[in-house]
Amino acid sequence: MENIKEEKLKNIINRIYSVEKNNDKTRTLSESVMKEKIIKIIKEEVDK
Amino acid sequence: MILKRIKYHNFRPFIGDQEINLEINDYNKNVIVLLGDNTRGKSTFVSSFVWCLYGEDRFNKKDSLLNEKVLNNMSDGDTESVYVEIEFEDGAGDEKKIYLIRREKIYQKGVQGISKLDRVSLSYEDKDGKTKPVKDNDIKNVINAILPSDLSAFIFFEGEKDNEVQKKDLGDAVRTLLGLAAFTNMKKHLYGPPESNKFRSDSVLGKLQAELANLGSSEELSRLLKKKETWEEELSNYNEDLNIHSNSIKEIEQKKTKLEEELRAAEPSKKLQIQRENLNAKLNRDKENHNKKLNDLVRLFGRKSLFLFIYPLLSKAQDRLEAMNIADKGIKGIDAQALDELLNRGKCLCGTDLRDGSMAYNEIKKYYEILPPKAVGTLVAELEDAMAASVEERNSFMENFDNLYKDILNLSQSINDTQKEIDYISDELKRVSDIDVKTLETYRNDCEVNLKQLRDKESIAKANIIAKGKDIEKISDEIAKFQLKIVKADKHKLYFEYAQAVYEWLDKEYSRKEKAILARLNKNV
Repeated sequence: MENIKEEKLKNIINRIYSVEKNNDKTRTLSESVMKEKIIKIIKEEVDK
Repeated sequence: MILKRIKYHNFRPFIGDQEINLEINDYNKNVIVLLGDNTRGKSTFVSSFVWCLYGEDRFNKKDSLLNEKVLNNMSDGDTESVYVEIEFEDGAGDEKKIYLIRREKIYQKGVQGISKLDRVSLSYEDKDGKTKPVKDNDIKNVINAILPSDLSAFIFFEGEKDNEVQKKDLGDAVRTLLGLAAFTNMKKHLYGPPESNKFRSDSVLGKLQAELANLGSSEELSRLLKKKETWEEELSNYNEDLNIHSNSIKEIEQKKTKLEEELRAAEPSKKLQIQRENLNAKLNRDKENHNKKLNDLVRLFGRKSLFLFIYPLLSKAQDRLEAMNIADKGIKGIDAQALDELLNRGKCLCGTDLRDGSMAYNEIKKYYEILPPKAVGTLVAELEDAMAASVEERNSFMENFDNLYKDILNLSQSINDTQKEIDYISDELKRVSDIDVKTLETYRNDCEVNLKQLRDKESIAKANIIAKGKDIEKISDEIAKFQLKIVKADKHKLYFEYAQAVYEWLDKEYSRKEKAILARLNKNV
């Protein structure tokens, strides 16, 4: 876990939270799509 | 949630279409006051939100949604509808959306009474201005995510009623209102059900771990590198084998060339050597035959030479007996004793009756005079026959002896001639250098056999080198790809670690904060 940067972690949490909250109020994305979206967010933020 | 407008159609006291604009343009003046006499629709206004958003009928008189006048005016076969439509805003920034919900009840009057059909639709306009419908099954969840129904009584509070909020467990509703439900979903998506000992394979952590597993490990890379090293060593051995075989082939080819030169030089003596070999074979055959004939001659002499030596005596005896003419006409092999026997028996051998005094009897009697013992002529005749046979034997012996002797002489001559020829050829060979062509040819044939074997080995070594080269090329590509995978795997490991960190943060920090918020809410609410 020594590789984890707090700033990145914070960004990931905020982005995932935003997507989750948004989907709560639209239900446009299925469970599997949500999981893929979370994976995409993590990869994007780590790759930044 | 900001209410923007509400529209009624035949809803309780509101006949036809009625719309109330709730939008506030000046946020310093953000209070709307509704004034009205009793039964003018103030409570209906508050409860209409609850019915429209949640489908809950909180009116004192149940199932009284359609305006009474409209309902009373319906005839059989008529259809009327009542609906409430609310436009509201939720979210901020990029997440801001304009929602439109409409709940409708359709009434149809028939002979058997009034049948009712409920309908609800929800759509939202995203930041790009596109309208998207919410699936029917999700409408309740979406509305609850915006404003939980359990907390609706706080917002659409009607002072004249017992709003029953204190009787409910408001935990989930508060969590939803505060947006904490999104955290719960995050945990669920990242890990799976919280009661599980390990994250689920279809969770975010599970999927990232599976991706990582597919990218291979450094142990696998070490294994491939080791394999490549072994193959390179094998290739080096094959190259070494190829060099050894190629050098051996060169050496043997040189040797073969030299032998062929020697054989070409020995071509004249080769013919003489063949001639000499043939003559030697003939000489051996003749000698063998000569010995055989000599043996035959000795055997013939041993068996038959007596007739040769008695011949002079026999010749003289024959001349004398001829001169004496004592050979008569007796019957050979028959003497007087045999006649006695026949006469005693009274019957001849031919069956003729030999009675005393008969003609046949008297005829027999006459032979006593010319047969032994009274006559010797018969014996002399027999002797003459025996002597003639001996002469025949002597003649036969002489003929055979003569033939054998001639053969022996011929063979002796042939042996002498052949030996002379052999001696002559040997002298010739000495003159043209007597090289052993056969041995040279044997050596050359050995060279060819060795060359064939070595060329086979060389071909195998070449094929092995090509095959191993391809294997090494393939494994090198695999290693290169694997090294890229390792780099990728390091990155994936980091993705997984971040996902784990997010989950751990949610598990620890969020739980702690959630407990604190709920404690405060329980105390205050």
